[in-house]
Amino acid sequence: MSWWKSYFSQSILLSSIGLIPFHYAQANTVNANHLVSGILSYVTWPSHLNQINFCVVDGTPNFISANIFSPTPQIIQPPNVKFFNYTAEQLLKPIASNPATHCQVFYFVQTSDTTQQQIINRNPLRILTISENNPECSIGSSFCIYMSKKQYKFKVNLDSLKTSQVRVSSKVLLLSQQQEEQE
Amino acid sequence: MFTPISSQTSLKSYLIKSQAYLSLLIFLVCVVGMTAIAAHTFKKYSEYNLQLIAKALSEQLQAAVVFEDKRAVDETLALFIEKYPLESIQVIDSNEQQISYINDAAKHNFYSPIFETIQSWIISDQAGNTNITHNGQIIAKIKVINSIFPLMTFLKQFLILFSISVVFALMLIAFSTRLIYRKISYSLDTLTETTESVTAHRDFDQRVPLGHIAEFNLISQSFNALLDEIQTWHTHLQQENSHLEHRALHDILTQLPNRAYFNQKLTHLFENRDSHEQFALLYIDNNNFKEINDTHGHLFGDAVLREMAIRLKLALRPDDFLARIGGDEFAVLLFNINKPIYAMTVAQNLLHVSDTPLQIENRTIQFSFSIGITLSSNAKSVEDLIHQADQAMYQAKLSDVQKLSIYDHQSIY
Repeated sequence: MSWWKSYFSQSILLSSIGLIPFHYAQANTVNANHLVSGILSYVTWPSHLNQINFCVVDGTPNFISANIFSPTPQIIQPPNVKFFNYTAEQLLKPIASNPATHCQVFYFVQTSDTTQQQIINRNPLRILTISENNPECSIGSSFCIYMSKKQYKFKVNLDSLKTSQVRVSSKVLLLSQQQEEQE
Repeated sequence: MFTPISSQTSLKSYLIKSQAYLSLLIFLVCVVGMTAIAAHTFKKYSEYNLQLIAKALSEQLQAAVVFEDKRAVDETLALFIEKYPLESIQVIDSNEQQISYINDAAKHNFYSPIFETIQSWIISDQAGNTNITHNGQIIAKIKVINSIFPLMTFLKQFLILFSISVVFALMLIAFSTRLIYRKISYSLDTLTETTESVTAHRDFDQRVPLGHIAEFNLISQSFNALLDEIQTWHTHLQQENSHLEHRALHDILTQLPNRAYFNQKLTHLFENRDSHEQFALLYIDNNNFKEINDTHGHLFGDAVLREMAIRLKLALRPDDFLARIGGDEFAVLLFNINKPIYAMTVAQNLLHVSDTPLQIENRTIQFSFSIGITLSSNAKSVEDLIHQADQAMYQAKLSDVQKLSIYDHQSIY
């Protein structure tokens, strides 16, 4: 799997220059599972929802493990998340022929930020958007996971989040702000 | 003041003692009660406060724990330990693995173990424990341990306030004891003073004034009643005494001072005489009293004496002292006589008293008397003076021309 590859390549690279920090070796820093499940847990989903459809766009996620939702962490409500895989082309189709209208989450892997924005504009509201490939986080996804000082962190695009009308607890926003200040 | 006998307890010390015991009892009850209340209040507030801090911390830490942001957790803990009086904070995840721990070594000092022990008695260990929950899941546990500083501050303030209260209470007790004692003492003192005054001056007019205490007033009233009784009795006795004294010093027939009184007066006068102020002593003797007695009887004799006394009294100045010193003998003390001629003038006036005969029961009785005069300046003693007056009187009796003679030592010797 590619995330394994990525992990190994990074580890090898860093160990070769002798810079593996102690805490980086800890299990909780090898992926961004806790960030993604944390973000999902702070979203207030509609009360009638009993399954969160987690739609991965353009490839296999690098930052999170495949078994992130098996089992689903209990902090996510409802505790039932299912993976789906789509491409940007599929999501840019008109609503009628768009197969991804059942998605609650778009998880962009390699999609560019402009394409992300296009997809967001074409699709219905109330979809949580997370991206792995948008370090600027000025257009496109509401949440942007990135790597900084060997740690996974995330930024929040408040405009995008506001437009999406997804209700996210302010605690997350405060934490992301705190993280940005630390840098 | 009557000095109290040493073996007896004074009322004041008894009062103070009883008040002291009572105060000590109340004080101890208050100490126990107040300490219990204070400790309970402190416990409740501390535990509530600790729980509140723990809850607030759990809210603040929730997102950081969810996102496994150890740095944010550490910073929040540092912020809390700086801001609040906490000794340590521990965050443990749901697998009992420690996420973060912070403690403030600066908040430790030499006395810490003592206060920590006290704190452990008062504040429950569970007070600072809380869970961080998210969407109904326990994601971590927090254990907050209170610093000893609030307890130290509390104990300090408690002790200061307590000491102030104790001093204030003692002052109040002392004041109230004094007040009560003064009230009782007033009643007792007035009683004592009155008793002493009555004893010392025999002043039975005094009464014990009423005070504030009913029981003492009862004593005072009884004492006053006793004083009333004594006063009545005393007045009666005094009247009796003066009556008796009068009778002892006066002649019953003429109501004039008698010989005893005359002697007393003369002695007093002679002993306190002044070189500038002399007095004259006159001896008066009825010339024909025996004759009157024999002719008309004793009753007439008595009437003659009475009349003679009245007439002599009227002929004298109010200050002069007239006494009946024997059967038909009278004596006169004339004051402020510096020259014999003055005494002579008075004596001559007295002789004219017998010019008008006595009219008793339609009988006309002629009478006359002789007067012997002497001046105090001539005599060296009272006996001397009496003797001289007597001598002069006999001289006058012998004279046919004038029944009056003034003592002159040259004429006698």
